[in-house]
This record gives sequence, C-alpha cells and structure tokens, in this order.
Amino acid sequence: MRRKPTISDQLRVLFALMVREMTSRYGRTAGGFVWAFLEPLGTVLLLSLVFSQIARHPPLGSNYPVFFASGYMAFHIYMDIARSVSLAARTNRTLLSFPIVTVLDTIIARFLLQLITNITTFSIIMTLIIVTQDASVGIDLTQVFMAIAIAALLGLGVGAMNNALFALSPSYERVFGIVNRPLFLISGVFFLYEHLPAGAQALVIWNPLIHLTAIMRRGFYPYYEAAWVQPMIVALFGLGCLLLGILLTRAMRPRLLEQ
Amino acid sequence: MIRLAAVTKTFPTSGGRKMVLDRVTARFPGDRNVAVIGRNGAGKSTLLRMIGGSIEPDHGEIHRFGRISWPIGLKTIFQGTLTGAQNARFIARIYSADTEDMVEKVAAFADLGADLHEPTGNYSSGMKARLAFACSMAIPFDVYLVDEITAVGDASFRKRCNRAFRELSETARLIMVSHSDRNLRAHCSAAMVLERGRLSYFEHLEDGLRAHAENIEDV
Repeated sequence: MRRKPTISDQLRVLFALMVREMTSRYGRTAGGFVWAFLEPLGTVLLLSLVFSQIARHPPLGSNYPVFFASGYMAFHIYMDIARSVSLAARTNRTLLSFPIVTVLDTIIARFLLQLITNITTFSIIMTLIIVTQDASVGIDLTQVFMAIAIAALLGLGVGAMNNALFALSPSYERVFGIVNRPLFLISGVFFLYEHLPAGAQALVIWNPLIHLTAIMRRGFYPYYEAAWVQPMIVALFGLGCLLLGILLTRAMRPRLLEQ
Repeated sequence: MIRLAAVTKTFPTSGGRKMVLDRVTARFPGDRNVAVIGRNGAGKSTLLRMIGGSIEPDHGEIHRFGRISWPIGLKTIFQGTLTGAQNARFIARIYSADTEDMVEKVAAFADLGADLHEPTGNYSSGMKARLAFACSMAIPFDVYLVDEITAVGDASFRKRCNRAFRELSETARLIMVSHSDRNLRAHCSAAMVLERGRLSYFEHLEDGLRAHAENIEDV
C-alpha cells in the first residue's frame, strides 16, 4: 500500500515545526520574545517623541503614541509575517530531507507562529499605551480584527510568493529588500491619506498597506471615516498572492529542495 | 517494495545537466536487502533521496509501498541551536513516535552521555553521525535507506550499527549505498548497479559487484 500523508500527518508535522521553531527562537533565552515586543514598542515611542517636538497634535486625535501605534502596528504585523514567511523554505531546508516535511508545511508553521506572536505583542502594546497614556479611545473591534486579518493575509501571500521567487532569482530578492524599506514611508504610518495632495493620493491608493493602516485607525478612532478604503480588494490581492505563491512553490519544488 | 516507472532525473552541475537516470523502469523487491552500487558521482545518493521522496524525478513516477525512512547517514538534518534531545523529539513528532521513548532509545544507542543535552552545533561530525543514526533506528520503517553510514564512528559504534541492521532485517528491508564491499556483503543479498543513467538489477550481490568492477575497468 502506498501511504499518502493524511491530514493528521500534516497537522503533526505543523505542530512539530512550530515547537521546533519556538524552542530555537524563544526557548534558549527569554530575550527572543522580549525583542519581538520591544522592537515595535521602541519604534512607536521613538516616532512619538520625535514628531511631538514638531507639531503639537497628530493628524488624528491628540495622542501621538496611540496614533503611531495604530498605524505602525498594522504595518508591522504585515512586514514581520512577510519577512519571516519569505525565508521559510530556505531556513528549514535541512528539514526538507525528511520526505514527510513539505515546503508548504514550513510556510504554514512559520505563518502561524508569527501570527500568534504578533497578535500577542499587538495586544500588549496597545493595552500598555492606552492605559499609560490615559487616552479615552473608543475601540471598534470589528475594524481591529479586520486589519489584523488583512495584514496577516497580505504577509502570508507575499511571503509564500517570495519563497519561490527568491529561489528563482537572487536579484529579485535584492529588489524586494530595496522596495520594502521605503514602503514604511508611504503606508500612512506618519500621515493620513486625506491630508495628501490629490496627485499623491492617486498614487498611494495603489499601495495595499495604506488601506491596511487606515482600517486599523478606524478601529481606534471610530469617527475616522476613510470612505476610500477598499478592504475587499486588498484582501483579494492578498489571496491572489497566496494562490500564486502556492502554485509557484509547487512548480518550483525541485529547485527549492536542491538549492 | 519500490517501483520506478520510466524515471528520468538530471542534476545541475557547472558543466550543464548531468544524467542520473535515463527513463529507468526498475523494481526493488520487498523481500531482499539491496545494495546500490555505482561509481563516484553516478548519482547513488540522488537515487536514495528520490526513493525517500525528498527530491522528485524530472519525469516518470516512483511507487512506494510501506513506510520509507529518510536517507540515513545525512548529518545535515539537525538544527545547530537545538540540543540533540530536542532534535530527536522533533523527529519523533513528525513520525508520530513517543517523544520521551525516542529520547531514551537515542540516548542508549548514540551513547553521547550528557552531550545529548548540548546544542548539536557544538557536535563533532562523528557525534552528529551517531545521533543521526540513533534517531533513524528509533523510528520503525518498512524500508531503511542507508547512505554510507558505516564510514563513521569507532569500532564499537560500527559494531552496534551492524547489529542494529541485522535486527532490522528481520522486519524491514534495507537499501544500502556503501563503498565497502565487506559492508554490502554483510547486509545485502541483491544488487542494483547504477551506470550511465541505467539501473540493472542482480539477483545475487556477487554478480552485481562483478558487473560494477567490469564497468570501472572499461572506463
């Protein structure tokens, strides 16, 4: 009898991969998780400090940390998942010697672990900021969850695609790194779409991440309307990347295993 | 039993693609331990990895019956930041074996003492090989793929490996790559000779070894 991997085989492999990655990343020192949490918190505080010297009020509300945390954390969830998932196959290459472990398993395991980590750090940081800043914010959980879901889907989609594309072309990998950095500047972490000149608006509207940060802001500023946001289109874009990523990973399987 | 149906496999090298298997149809019987013989670079390890399923043929299909191991002898299966025991637990988890039972068996076989709880990144290559071998022996498979394992370790470890292979042979099959004829004679009864992209099966190991010797002579 040919023994095909069953669902329970795959779940077992996922679980094993997650435990393994957790032990190697967070297990040896408490530092691993602490950094996952300090890095975004530090960024938010630093941005708040610098920008509060420039202008008295942020573009929304009156509290800088809440403004930057809502924008930056949405961006961070996407970027952190995309980065980590992009290297899933390469980092776990030795494990692919075990025939039972597939590239897709390493992608899903990394995604789940990163998602859990990010939801945890997000909750801690937002709670911390809202409590210490004594900011009276009305939270719209539907928008917050939608933003997290879209950030996760985009990160997974882009990451899955990169697994195959990085192996295909090292120059693409470099280009991706270069394009990703200034993305931070044009994704609405510092500004609101509404305050841009019309010409700039027409350009940045094509950046899926500006929709993402705006949805998260709607979650913390219920009066912020942002009627231009297109959650469905952005979600579909993420889904498209994911499907393309899965197809490419399948087509590239020999290459990923032998690289 | 393992069946190759019209399998083609090429391998990228700096001088273009090298042919490992050229439309090969072959059968590894389910009741014999088979030695895979061929000259250096003929693609014996690639063939084992293909049978295991960690790499795929360019064309054709491989039909596997039963549970097949990963190629034993690979020392690159461990993550250096994890300890020997943690790596063993990982393998137990993916193959649904009991993790603590696995660690016990591995401790007994690999004989690494306290080093089992050190990161494998600090291991010597001999220690890694012992750990790798112990891990694969602790998981029950129907077919064990063995790649040059007996080249490592000291005499007492080699003795333990040989005893383990003999015990396994009662319930499972071996497909073995080794440059030592003595090793092959100790464990295998049949041979598969890989030469210029062709696989030829020999019912008797000695016939296979002789054919291989002739191949080498008329280079």
